[in-house]
Amino acid sequence: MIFLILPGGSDTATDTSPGSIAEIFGRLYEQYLPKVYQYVSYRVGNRTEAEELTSVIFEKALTKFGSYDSKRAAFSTWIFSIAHNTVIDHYRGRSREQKLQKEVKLRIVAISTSPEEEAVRSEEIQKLHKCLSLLNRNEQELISLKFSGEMTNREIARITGLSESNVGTILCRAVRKLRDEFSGWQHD
Amino acid sequence: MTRKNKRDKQLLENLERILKGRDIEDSASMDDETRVALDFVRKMMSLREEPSKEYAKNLKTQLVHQLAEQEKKEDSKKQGFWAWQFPRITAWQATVSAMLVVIVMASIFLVVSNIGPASSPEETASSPTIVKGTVTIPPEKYPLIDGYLQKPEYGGFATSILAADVAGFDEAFIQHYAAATLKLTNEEMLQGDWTKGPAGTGEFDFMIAGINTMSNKTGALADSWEIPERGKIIFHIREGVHWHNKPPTNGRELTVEDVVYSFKRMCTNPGAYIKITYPLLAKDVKITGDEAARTVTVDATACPSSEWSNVTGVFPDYLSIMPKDALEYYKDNMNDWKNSIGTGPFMLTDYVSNSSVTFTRNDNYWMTNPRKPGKGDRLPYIDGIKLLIISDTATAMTAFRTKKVDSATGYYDDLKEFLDNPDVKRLSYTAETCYAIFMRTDKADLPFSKLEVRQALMLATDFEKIKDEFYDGKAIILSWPAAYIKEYKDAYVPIENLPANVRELYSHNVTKAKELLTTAGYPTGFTATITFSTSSTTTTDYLSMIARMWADAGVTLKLDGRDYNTWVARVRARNYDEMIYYNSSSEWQRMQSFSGTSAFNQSYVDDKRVNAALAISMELLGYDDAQLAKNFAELVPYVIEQSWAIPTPIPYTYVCWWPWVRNWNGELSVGYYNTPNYLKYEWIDQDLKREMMKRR
Repeated sequence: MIFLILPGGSDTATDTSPGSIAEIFGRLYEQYLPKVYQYVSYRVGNRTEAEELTSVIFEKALTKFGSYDSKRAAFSTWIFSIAHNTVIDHYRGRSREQKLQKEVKLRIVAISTSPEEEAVRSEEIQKLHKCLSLLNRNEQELISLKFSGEMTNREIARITGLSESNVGTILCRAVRKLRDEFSGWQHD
Repeated sequence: MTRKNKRDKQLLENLERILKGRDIEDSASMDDETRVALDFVRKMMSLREEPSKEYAKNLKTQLVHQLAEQEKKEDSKKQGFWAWQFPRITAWQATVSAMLVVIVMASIFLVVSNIGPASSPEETASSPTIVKGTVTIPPEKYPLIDGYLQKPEYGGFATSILAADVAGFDEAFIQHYAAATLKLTNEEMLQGDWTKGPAGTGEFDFMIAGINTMSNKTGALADSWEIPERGKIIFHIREGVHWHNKPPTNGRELTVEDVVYSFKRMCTNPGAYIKITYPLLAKDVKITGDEAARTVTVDATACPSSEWSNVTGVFPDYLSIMPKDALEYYKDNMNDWKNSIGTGPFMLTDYVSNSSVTFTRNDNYWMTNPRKPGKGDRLPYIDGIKLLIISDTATAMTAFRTKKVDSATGYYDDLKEFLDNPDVKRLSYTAETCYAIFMRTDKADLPFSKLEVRQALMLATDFEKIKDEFYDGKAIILSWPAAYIKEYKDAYVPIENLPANVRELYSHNVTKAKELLTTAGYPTGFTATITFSTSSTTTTDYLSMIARMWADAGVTLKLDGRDYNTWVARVRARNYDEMIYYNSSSEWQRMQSFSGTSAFNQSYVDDKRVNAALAISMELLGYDDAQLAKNFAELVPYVIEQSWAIPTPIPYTYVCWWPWVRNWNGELSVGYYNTPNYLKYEWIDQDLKREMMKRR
């Protein structure tokens, strides 16, 4: 039985020796699955759909992995481009409402220490999703990319086709809306 | 710029800082409004929704299959993927490498988080203590194709360690596992399918030499095989296979006659494995060949039905084929290393007793690399192999540390200095068998005939403490009646899946142990003697630890250490008075550790339920591996409940290697007792080796 195969601790930090496609993609999968999943989850607000779309995204990524060129884009940009287009296709294909669902039932993956804390956390997440649902589609998209993908405005611009300054403006507006909504929530 | 826009810009700049982790030092200069927004952002960032582990695992499996499918499709294309892929790969790999810093940390986290106990301790209804020692099936590594994306290169020597001198070179004279180098020079009908191991689809680990399942095999000297009926197997002998180019074979082609002659010899030579071990099979098996059809038929239908498992055990992937003319020339003695002739990837060129064995590349080896990159390349890649015979562990570790050998294996204590070395690649695994304390359950006058007593001994044993203190936490507790190995994972039942009353036996509950002893008629305990081999000092230490634990329950364990030969004689004859320390059988399919009369059944178990299950297993063996495993798994709770043996946790074994070794993921035996045949796939990154040797 094998249960420990580490790529050598910090060795891979300096090890520029190439790995196999399976190895590298496997590692990228470990790294990006949570981010992509979170991005999709923000966009669709439903666990089942989020899982379904995330699977599609990684299947596409694996299929196209051979054509990925790091000179053209960072991997994060590339994978989130796929994610972005997949979510758009999802809405187009199913004629979904272009907002997050109002009722989100989320399975909380939290480091809660008690049922009470977990309940509070669940409520917070639902409120945050409600805040997000007040944004328009573009704003939701950019906020999701910003926070899930941890991307720069320039990277977001490349993915969405918007100009960098436009991204900044939309993000600014979105953050302001969220801030206002959040402020209202705090004072409830 | 308006005031509002300025504020927005500031807000976004602050967000950028947050993402870069510099928000703390800047927060003092922020206005309240921004700070509120930032608090919100922080909160949102902290509420990360994550995919469930089950989902992540399933998706990974799905992607692995997709990758395998993609590669199959690509194989059929005239324009190979790799032909145009290399330049791009080189470009993006630099980026990927940079990403690996974070990825490695994530991997470490994932691995570490998965190694620990699977679930929180669980209280049992009847027990005041906590059931500890829950272990989970460790996460499977994702398949690593360590063929890398570099084009494999030819040349260089592999260097490795042999822990004991080579006992011989012909398995007609010695146990074949003692002919440690035979699988480099000679081949069998079938071999492990390397593409299903870590180098490919990851279905198998190929860590354990003793795993024999037809599902992990592919052709070697036979390019295909068929089983037309139970008891009969037909091998279709491969064309274009040549013997080593040395007298008297001089590179001639392998014939059907060679195979038939080798098989028959193994059934008739007085020292041969089949002749000694499976006399009923050796006596009545018929081996015939058809040169025109290039087939060899092994027909054991005249043998007892139970011999079928031995047929599948020895003929496909166990017995090495020798050239008939050379056997005749050397008067049936190929046990002298100078007589070595095979069809294998390497030729034995030198042997110095207790020092080294040297091999050179067989330039006319038939096999090609089955995996990209380098698919179709003639194997082997390396010019040769130097095996250094080093029995002393410290010396072996020094050889590895000083890079005189490519790899090393050992327990945690042996290799721990390398486990944090960023240059060293490594993995760990656990063996397929465990040691256990067996006891005479057949003697009515001894306490061990009573279930309550046996269960009391289980409860008096602190498995968690053994794991933590004796094995530094580097062990897996549930190892009986079958240890977990990937190839047989369906036969394994993790502790957490056991019924509560059975799971409880792995808790440490001295109070309940005493209650059970009282129920059994031993309110003040009893005294027992255990026989064991003193060849390893750790055994004495281990049993002393057990004695201290059992003393708490009122059981006095006396240690009866014997020299190795005396102990082996006792084991073979099952001749001991009360308890004996011995290892379990790796062949869970045959249930030998708790049925029958073999040496594995040291506890003299003769149980109706086990015997019934065994009869079913024997019918399934070789036909339906899935059902076989299912049947066994269903029996596992009962076997543990009966406590016929007190098992010892299995410590992790580590494999470490230097990164210049390519196309190797640490697999030790590609097939059934085929160590170290993985060397034929391996290649050496000679530039990297030179560079690393300079750092010495």
